[in-house]
Amino acid sequence: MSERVHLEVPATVASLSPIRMVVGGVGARFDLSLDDLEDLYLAVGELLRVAAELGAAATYGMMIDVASDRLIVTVGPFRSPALLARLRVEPTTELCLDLCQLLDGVLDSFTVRQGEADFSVEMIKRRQTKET
Amino acid sequence: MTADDHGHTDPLDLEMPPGQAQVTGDEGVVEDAHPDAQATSPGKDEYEKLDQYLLRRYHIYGDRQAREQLITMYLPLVRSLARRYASRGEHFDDLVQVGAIGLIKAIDRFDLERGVELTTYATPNIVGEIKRYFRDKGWSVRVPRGLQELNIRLNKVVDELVPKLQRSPTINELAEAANATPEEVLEALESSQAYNSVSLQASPNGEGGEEDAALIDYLGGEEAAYDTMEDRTTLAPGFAKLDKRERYILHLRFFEGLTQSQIAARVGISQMHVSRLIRRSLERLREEIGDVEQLPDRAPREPES
Repeated sequence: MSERVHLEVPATVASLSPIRMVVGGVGARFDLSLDDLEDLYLAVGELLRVAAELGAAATYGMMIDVASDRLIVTVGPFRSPALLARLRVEPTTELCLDLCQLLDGVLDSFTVRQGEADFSVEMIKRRQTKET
Repeated sequence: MTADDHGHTDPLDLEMPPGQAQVTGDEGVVEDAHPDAQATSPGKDEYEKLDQYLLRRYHIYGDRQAREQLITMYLPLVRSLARRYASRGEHFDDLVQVGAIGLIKAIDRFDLERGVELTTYATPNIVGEIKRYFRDKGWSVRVPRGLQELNIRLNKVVDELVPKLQRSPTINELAEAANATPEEVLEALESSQAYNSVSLQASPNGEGGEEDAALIDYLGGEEAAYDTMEDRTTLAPGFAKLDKRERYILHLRFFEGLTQSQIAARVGISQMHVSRLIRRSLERLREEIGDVEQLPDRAPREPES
């Protein structure tokens, strides 16, 4: 990893704005396209909104790792079993737009990292080459 | 050479045209006096002469009474233009007030040397002021005018850059094209979160002009696709609460994997509007499916260490 940005904010919907600004700032410097940046906004925004609704944390911690070809955004730790259940739904052929489907749709991948008493969510967004 | 009430001589020989007496101080006659009213007595040409006379009185001599007279004469035009926007949730009288500001600006800024009619010059000013009012009202929190304008500029810039680059532009490319810094672009994008989604009857550029095509006009060709998609998504919780277009856009994004720019091209609206619609639709879905229990039973994923 060449760069890491760490941010911690209160677990309120109002905190989403500074989070988006930080994601945007790092994403812009990383030369993400507007489409990809919007995807990342959606992913982080939806995850944190659901987390806030479920009372999954008192504060949000967000870490952005800048790699050569991707941004890795890790959010957590969370302690909500309800949120964990929502994040561990297997994809189906059913057309159901739940949190998993949404994250699958806008990210290259996402992974739930299980700790001893909590968990965090790692989201990966790759940079498209300008030719693609 | 003629002289006015104050004894000023008129070096331009501004002879008072016929019909002036009918225009002042009588609201009923004023309504008829508007050029658009196709008045027959006196004729349109004579009213144009009267316009020119009053404009010269005001701009050359600073005659405030002539200015007042022009405002009164053209209020029917303001009312006529405001009426076009009256069905959009704002009081008609408020729109007339706003439009009147546009009229006054037009009268004050009118350039006698340009040789255009006041109606021609005033109409876009009045409409512009009404549109600006709607645009400002569309922001749910106070967003500085500069950011609002940059946001609107970005809408156009994105739509220009996508076909040119054949891909979604980066923030730096947007900043360069919009003559702004990347930070300003990010701030403008963030501020757009505070913008209320426009109605189906609003124009795609977000300005809501009646002369512009409404969003719904862009969607006719996609009706068949909506219907097919609708059959396939009936099981999706909350989808039924969304309108066809919202369901279609969510379907394209999350089930077909199209990017926002691709959806914008397919549906015929701007990428930034697609972004707003997706956000709004997700908000509505979230409201509808707030309870985990409403989600269908699905197998859990394997936990990762």
